[in-house]
Amino acid sequence: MVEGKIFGVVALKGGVGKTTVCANLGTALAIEFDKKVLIIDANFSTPHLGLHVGIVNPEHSLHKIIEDEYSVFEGIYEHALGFHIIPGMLAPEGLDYNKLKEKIEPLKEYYDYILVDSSPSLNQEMAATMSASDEVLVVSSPDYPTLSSTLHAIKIAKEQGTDIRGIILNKVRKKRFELNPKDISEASDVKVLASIPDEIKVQAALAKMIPIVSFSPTNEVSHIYKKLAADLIGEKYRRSLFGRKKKKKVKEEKDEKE
Amino acid sequence: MKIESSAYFYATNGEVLKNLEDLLSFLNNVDEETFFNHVNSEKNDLANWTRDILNEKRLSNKMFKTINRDEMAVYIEERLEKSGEGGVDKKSVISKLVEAIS
Ligand SMILES: Nc1ncnc2c1ncn2[C@@H]1O[C@H](COP(=O)(O)OP(=O)(O)OP(=O)(O)O)[C@@H](O)[C@H]1O
Ligand SMILES: [Mg+2]
Repeated sequence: MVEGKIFGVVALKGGVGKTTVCANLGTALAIEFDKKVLIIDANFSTPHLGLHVGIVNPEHSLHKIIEDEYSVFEGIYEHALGFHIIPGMLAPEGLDYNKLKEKIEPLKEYYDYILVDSSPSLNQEMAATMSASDEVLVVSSPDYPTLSSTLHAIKIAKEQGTDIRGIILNKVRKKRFELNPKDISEASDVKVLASIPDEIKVQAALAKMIPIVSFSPTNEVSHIYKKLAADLIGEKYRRSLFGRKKKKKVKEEKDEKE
Repeated sequence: MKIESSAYFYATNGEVLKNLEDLLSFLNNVDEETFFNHVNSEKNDLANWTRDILNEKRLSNKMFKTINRDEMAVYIEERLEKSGEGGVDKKSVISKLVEAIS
């Protein structure tokens, strides 16, 4: 039995990269660190997590679990990339979002990490993700409007009493006109955990519905995601020029010695 | 400040750096292997050049403390900003945003 941790991936702004972060962290944790990972699409109004990982029209969807149509276990898909996923489909109005927590909390026994993708709107969907999470990761980008939304999201998390693990700064172009990680961490009083470059390959990967961590493992963005995953779980990541480490082999050698 | 061509930084991928702007763009774009040729646990050619040729002592001190290119780029950006031109005052915009939310 494991005692897993639930990370909510949030932002009060559309399109900053929440879903991309979920898909890539999920993939990195599963394939690079051999963790049991579940990613959940709790963006009930624009559920697109499946589309980032090759699931187009799932039969099962989180909202049906919340509506007690079937158990949470029946709604889980095993993905070829090693993680498990509960995808989402457009949810009907009046769904009781508050049940999200009671539905996913028991899964902590089975997974090391659960990542919850959330809605960008300031509504009950977002509140449900925050209260279901042990810690939130706030996705941001280096401009004033997004900083403003980030400050707002952090304020709400604090009001709800949800721990904030840190900010993931996405779509960074390293331009002089951009806000830098220091500006953002000073303004928010929250640590910037990673700066992810704006990288066309992220979109190329989306077009293939494969997270970039798997689509292009040696891309700088993939290294940064893997380093971030390592930091989140207190492990070390050493980048190799050849992509994925031969973890299994190392483990076999270790087992042999024992 | 102008420097002699003999003092330019010649990277192993053929790129030639003449100033901090070039160095910043190099850090943002260079491939991992070239970067590693110059910055690794043994040495930091970029920080050496910044100290000895560009005479940027304070900046190079920061650069010597890291082998992370992103971090290095941020230090250079900060340095360039200090000598950069005006515009809206970032600090005051940020503090207004902070004030509006709290
Ligand atoms: N580092 C990056 N570089 C370039 N493009 C990126 C990067 N990260 C994300 N994107 C692109 O930005 C777009 C929006 O990303 P994503 O769907 O993850 O955002 P979101 O915050 O989940 O949006 P929504 O609020 O609509 O759910 C996608 O096309 C994605 O491929
Ligand atoms: Mg999304």
